[in-house]
Amino acid sequence: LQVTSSSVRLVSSNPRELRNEWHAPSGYSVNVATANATQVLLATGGGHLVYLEIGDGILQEVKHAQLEYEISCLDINPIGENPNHSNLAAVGMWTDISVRIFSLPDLSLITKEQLGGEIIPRSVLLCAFEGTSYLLCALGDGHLLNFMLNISTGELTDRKKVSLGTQPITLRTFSSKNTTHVFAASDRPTVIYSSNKKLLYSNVNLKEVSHMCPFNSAAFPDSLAIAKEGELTIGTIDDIQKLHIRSIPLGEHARRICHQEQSRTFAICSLKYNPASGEDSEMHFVRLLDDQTFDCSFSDDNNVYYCVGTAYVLPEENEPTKGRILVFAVEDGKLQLIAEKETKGAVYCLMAFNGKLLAAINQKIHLYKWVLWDDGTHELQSECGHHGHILALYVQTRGDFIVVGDRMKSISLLIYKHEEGAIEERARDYNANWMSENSFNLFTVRKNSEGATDEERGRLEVVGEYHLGEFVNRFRHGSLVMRLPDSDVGQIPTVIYGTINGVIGVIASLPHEQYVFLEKLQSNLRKVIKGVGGLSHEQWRSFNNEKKTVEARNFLDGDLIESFLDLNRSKMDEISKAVDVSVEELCKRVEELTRLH
Amino acid sequence: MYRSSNIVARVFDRQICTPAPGTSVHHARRFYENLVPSHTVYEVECPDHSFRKFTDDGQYLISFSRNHQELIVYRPRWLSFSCKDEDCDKHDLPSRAKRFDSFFSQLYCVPLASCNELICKDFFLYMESNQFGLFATSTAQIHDAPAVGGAVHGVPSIEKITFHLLRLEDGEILDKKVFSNDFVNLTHNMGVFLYDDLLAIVSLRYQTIHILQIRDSGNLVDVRAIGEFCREDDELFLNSNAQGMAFSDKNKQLQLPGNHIENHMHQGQPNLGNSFLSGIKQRLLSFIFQGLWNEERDDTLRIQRLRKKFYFHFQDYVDLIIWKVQFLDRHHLLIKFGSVDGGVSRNADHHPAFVAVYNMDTTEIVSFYQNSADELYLLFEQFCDHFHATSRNSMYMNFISSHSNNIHALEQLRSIKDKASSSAQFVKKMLASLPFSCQSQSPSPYFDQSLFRFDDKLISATDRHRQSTDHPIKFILRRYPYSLKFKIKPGPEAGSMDGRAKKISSFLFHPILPLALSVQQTLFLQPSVVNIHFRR
Repeated sequence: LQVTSSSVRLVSSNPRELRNEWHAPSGYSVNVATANATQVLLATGGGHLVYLEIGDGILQEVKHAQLEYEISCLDINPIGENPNHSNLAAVGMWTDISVRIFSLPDLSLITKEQLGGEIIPRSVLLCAFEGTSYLLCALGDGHLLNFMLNISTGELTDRKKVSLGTQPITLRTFSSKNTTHVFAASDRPTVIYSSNKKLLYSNVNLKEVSHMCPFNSAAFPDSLAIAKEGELTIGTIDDIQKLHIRSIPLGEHARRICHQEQSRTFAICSLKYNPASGEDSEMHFVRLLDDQTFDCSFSDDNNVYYCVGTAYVLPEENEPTKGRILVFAVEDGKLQLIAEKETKGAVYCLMAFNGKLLAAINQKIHLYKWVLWDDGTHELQSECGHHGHILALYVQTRGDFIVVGDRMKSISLLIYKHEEGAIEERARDYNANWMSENSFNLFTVRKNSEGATDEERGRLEVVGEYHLGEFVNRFRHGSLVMRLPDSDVGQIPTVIYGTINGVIGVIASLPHEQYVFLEKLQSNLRKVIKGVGGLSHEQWRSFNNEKKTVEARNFLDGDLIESFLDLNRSKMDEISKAVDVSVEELCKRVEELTRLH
Repeated sequence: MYRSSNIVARVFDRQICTPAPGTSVHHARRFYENLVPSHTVYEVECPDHSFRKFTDDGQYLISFSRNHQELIVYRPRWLSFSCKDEDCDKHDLPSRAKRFDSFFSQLYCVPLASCNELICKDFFLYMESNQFGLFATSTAQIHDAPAVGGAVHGVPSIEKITFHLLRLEDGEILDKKVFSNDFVNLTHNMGVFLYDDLLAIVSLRYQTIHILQIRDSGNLVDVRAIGEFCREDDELFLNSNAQGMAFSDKNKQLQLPGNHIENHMHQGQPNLGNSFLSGIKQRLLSFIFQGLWNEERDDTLRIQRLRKKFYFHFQDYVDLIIWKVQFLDRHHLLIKFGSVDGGVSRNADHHPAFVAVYNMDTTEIVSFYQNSADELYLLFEQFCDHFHATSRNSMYMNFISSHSNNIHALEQLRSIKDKASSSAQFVKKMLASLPFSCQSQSPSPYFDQSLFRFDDKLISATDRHRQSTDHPIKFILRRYPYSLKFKIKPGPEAGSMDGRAKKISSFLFHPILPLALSVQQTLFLQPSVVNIHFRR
């Protein structure tokens, strides 16, 4: 079957001769067309919708409908019992920005769904996963809408929206390992599939795919043909993974990394050892790499910058008395030094804060503002500082609050007062938890704002304790996987951490009832799963430092909980009985957790 | 690897290097070499209180009012201020740095003393697991009280001693225990020892070791009393045999109510004390006898040895009294015995003394030494840490320097030993510190002799007043580059006006932070000079 802008041609594949041809009415051209094994649906200019059926060597126009607006996309993928024939047609519309469901063969309008907004639907797809029917609708800005579809009534329900990229998307189905998948081709190609009746999305490690179609032949079984600009690839889909890992050799030791979305660059701080020279010496670099998380921007300045803190580390000094803050811009793919500020100590941490720059320098927190001079140059200018730390290594902010991690004094909560241009301490954790850090523990604290006394309000209260067994170098808000609106876990905030031994981990804040349920599950898993050598999981996870050992509190071990899925059926049944929840429900809930990472 | 003692190099190193298993704490403690109390605020404006100590978790500063009536508890904070000036590091600290409440905030003030009792300001024990504090109040000593009811002649009497158990979080008094007409040596916790949740209180006057348990609920519960009797049912056994005696009715009338320690046996039957040796004394004598008996196989020689070493000294052994006690673990006590004259004396070192290990569960004496015994000295030198029993859980006390865990302290000990003219005299002097007083050592890392070297005649981890000099006390790195890291100078910045007045100093180091108080006072009734030393 060939569709051109003026006709639909039925060509016999064996004698290679034209058997029949349908012509568009004069003055109209075919804009959009879709087909399956027995049906053709096309749209011409002027809002004409034409339905053809393919007979034995004949094309027969069955129905014609006049719509009030232009048609942007069509689909008649069979999702009912007959794999060769569809009873429904999906139609995307210009002007009123809607998607409509028509019945076949009579082209009667069944459902009309306003999409909202101003972005035209560019691709529409009827598909079924795990026996459930869906309508997928891709917009011109890279967003995807999905609906549950009742194939008997054509009703659309349970609308969800997810962002897959920034460019128009083309949707195609394909089969991999006997399972239906959908390929979303765009600037960020994605595979859509279903598991446990939930739609899931997995990135594909390709860029800028414009079209894809299934390609199944003796030479390339179960393959895909993938078209990019100036390139055609035939490939297969690997097992779907959550993370794609690429190694980029640097030849140096990377110590810090920062991503700047506007310039689509990473900045890496690295160091190079020089064993060639007689003595130990190091050179430290800031390197720019070409291609979503954090950048540094100032008030009254629409540019984005990388800020780097340094220290002059002299072996004979107890601690640095000098350092610098360097402000770089990315211009033409290169780092340009815009401003430089000398400091009276080591700059351990920098943070964008209220359109200004917050720095941790030796035992002090310093706030700088970004000043534009008349000659067009910029300068970092000191606004105020806060003393009250022993060695301020970490700074994090939220709103006007500043959290300081101190080498000895644990955690302080400060607040910035705009009117006074001052930073004041609000609360502190009085436990000596730097000892906990050396014993590889995690703990959480809470500010007691309802306390009766100043002392209570000024004390951060420890509310969670846990033995991780790893030294954490860095915490960052973020997620290792795409956040999915389909899933109950999609709304759970997560923090990623990296450790000295190269572990990347995820900590999730669970809703209370989910926590209670999983805690019960964890208790029962401990009875069933025994550690190697008879070691006790409960003991291993106890918060343990030089001064005390207490049971883990308000923390769950996700690794232990997810090991439920690896148990044999009889052990699963045993646990199912103990927690009074079916095995199917338990598997479903634990699998949902695995989607957090 | 970049090897440097600069703190930035250390911060970077710990992000990429995992210490060898079990040594992460040792590595972390090296940061104390860089973070030191290098700045002094002289003559802090502070309340006129007796500052006792920081609790070992660093959460509280314990102090008592000048009139010894009230307990005042502070939270150590840290000088915290905002500044506008970019170069404020060069400027003086703000004026509020001179005020005590910039570093410490008062949590509460609790009156403990009542009637004629005063707080014993040299006594305080901290139970870290529950954050309980144990305090003591007492009336004045009566030196010539008659030795009635089994009391030891020559030991003073105190009409009322009260132990108060408080929850330090809010200052609530949880329980009390009263001793009447008794004597307990409270100075520097000498007569009381706390091990985990077990408390040993030595009644010097009645020669009884009271073992109490501190429950999580905050109750003080009697466990046993060792002295007159050893087993809990010894008293019952003796009473059943004494039932026919004429004093039995009188006993009941003399029963004392409530929490008072019952001394009815002592008060009601003075003759009984003369007839029987106390249970602990009998066990001691039998241990000595059995030891001598077992040393010799030959009957004739055995009798000679017994005559010379046991019977000849029998009365001296009988006259020994319990001086001091410490726990070695939950089941064993280390008990020092000596003559009555030395029991209360400040110069106990000059009196003959003996040390015994007693098993509370089996009520046996396990070993017995004279305080000049070489055998005991070897144990002391090589296993000193075993005598510093504190708790099964407190790892950090492992870092308190002793000559069995610190090579520098051992070298120092051996240096003193080599210089000693008399080995026996040296041994006796060293062993005079046994049994150790409870919680008498500061866990501050600045006293860790692996990290710093300092003159321990002027300052040390041991909780004691020192003769004060006008020279700053230097803390010097133990490791390369062996540099001077900080100084501690008690007293006014310019030194004392009256150079000849005798001054004493005490030092309170925070167990974790680079923060210390120094308190200097003259023997006259002048106000103390308090300095705060901290990392600026």
